[in-house]
Amino acid sequence: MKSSANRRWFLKSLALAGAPVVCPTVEADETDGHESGATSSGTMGVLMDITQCVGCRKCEYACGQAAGFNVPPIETFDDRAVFENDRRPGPASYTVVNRYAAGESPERFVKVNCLHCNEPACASACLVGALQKTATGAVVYDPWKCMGCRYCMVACPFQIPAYEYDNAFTPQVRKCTMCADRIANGARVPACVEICPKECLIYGRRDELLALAHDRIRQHPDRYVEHIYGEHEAGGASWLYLSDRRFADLGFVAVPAAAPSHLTETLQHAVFKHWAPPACLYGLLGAIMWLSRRPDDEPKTSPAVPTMPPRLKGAVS
Amino acid sequence: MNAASTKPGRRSTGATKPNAHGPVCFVAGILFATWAVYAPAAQDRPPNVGGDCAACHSCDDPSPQARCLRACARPAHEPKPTSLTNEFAPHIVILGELADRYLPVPFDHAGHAAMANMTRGCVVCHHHTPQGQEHPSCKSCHALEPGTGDIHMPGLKGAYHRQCMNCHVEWSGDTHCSVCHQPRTGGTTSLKLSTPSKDDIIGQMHPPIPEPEVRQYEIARDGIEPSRVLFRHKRHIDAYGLRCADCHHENSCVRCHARSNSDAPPVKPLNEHHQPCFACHENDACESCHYETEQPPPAMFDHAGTRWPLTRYHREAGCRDCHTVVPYQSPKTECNECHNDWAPGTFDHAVTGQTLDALHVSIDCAECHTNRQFDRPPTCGACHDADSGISFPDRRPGPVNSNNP
Repeated sequence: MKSSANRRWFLKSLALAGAPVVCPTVEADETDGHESGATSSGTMGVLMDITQCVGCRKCEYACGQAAGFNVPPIETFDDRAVFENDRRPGPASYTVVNRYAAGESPERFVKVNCLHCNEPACASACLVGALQKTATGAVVYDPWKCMGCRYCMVACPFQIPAYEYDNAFTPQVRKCTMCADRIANGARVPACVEICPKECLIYGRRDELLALAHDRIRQHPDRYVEHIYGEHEAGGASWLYLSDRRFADLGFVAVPAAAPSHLTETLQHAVFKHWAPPACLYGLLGAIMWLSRRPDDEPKTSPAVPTMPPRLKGAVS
Repeated sequence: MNAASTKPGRRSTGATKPNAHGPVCFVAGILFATWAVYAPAAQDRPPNVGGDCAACHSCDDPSPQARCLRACARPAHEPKPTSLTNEFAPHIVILGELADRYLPVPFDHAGHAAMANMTRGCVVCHHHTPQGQEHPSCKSCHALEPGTGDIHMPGLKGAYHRQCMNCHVEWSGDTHCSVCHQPRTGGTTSLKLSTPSKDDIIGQMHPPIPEPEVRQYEIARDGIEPSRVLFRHKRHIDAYGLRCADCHHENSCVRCHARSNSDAPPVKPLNEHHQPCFACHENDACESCHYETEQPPPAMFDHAGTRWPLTRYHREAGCRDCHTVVPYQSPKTECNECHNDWAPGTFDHAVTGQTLDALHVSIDCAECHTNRQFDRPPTCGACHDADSGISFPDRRPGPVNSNNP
């Protein structure tokens, strides 16, 4: 009888000890998520004015240099044949410029790279926290934490993270870092922003950039469409775009305003709220034990001395 | 009573009416006077910049007479630009503030000013010039270092490139850096660009212009016999090594890039037509260029007419290689007038048809060509008199090239 009580006590204490192990981590994640959303107005970002870009592709060159890729000489970036096909950022290029021509209207160029979402789906999907939204606004990657599951690639609504499939032993997920290292080392602006000859790219605080973009739309309603891509898309992003064409015509995907991670995180956080899983689990186990108990196990009286097993009893007698 | 009561009432109404109108008119008058005084000023009233006077004014107490406006306009404050004149505008401006990766850009200010006159004038580029100020330099507003200035305003690099590219992209679609920039390679600067002139702009930055083979001008003016002038354009360029700007030095871009007939350049006066030709043909007779319609054009200049027929190397030389001064004058005919670097070791005597043997090759030129008369063969007897036993012409000072004159 006593052994049964011991087992129950053991299980109870295990549940009590185990629950805090699970729950605080969940709660911490939750607060982190909220914080990143709340401070997003103070984070840095880049505003690209698509009407100014002439497609010189110098940003591709500067990006490759800053990221330490093996970049060809700068003259090779004058090659405009690459515009024949739409390109995507890859494991050896954090950014590409695509051309969009529509009939007689002048061609437009769009710089494609990680938008550094305020509530990044990649970071939400990452099991090990290898992707993190930093206080500066950049979504950065830690190869030492990454285990290579590539959930981030599935999660990203813009299909930005790229995987080094050709690297058999130390493959990494590669994507724009908004030059987080460079800026930590004293650079004022990301490499692409610095080299852009027409300064179509402006680096600054996201809220100021948004105000600037709204100002421009208000001052030149004939020049811009009334939409800042990245203001609300996927919960808002650090990278913003101003355009004179509909964004759908420039290769931008239509993304709902809510962050993709909202649904999953809400579900998971709801499930884990108030220690629900351990409470349910051990409640269930307790119920099973209660229901499957045998009547003769139940002690009629509480004996003062431990009863001897019948086997031993016979041996003694 | 009733009538009496109404009457005073009426009267009182009548009496109060002027009293009531009086203040209204008085207030209205004051308001009008206030408006009349301040309305003109109100149009010039500074915008609301949140009490930050220093955003626009450089002095502490600006007044309508002394506004001391800053050159850099705030986004909300667009000062009216003064109407600049390009009377004293520079021809060439060197844009060199950012010349780290590339060499400075020589900018054809005069040509662009001429084009700007077709639209809105100087303010197309000099867009934020406060009233009463000389136009400020671009870098007084636009930050040199990226990321240091106001995000509402492009930095200097962005400002330059926007000014240039916003037009050039529509013009040629060409965004190569080399359209304007010479790359800086190995720290060396090109001499040509370090002292740029308009030639360089036309030669290096302008897309190639098709050169006509000949130009035929029909001359029909009052008081002049109708005639023709045949100008061998290509021949002049090829033979005399002329560059476009040697003749077209006063041309502005609108000569070719006029957008409508009203923008077309005015007809040149007579002396301007003659000026490019007179630079060389000042002393020539009219008939050397002008000819009557029925007659064939005058023949091309024949150098043999100057009693110096051009042979071999001289035929390939440009006119200015020998005639260094314009208008052309007869240079002295001694070889060393031009070839003053010729010395026994540096001159290949074989080109004259007479190869010198080892004995003669080291002798100074003037030893044989007495009186430095290099244009005629020396007389052997000047050195070799009959007593020496060397006969002439059996033994020459070396083998003779049979295929040379």
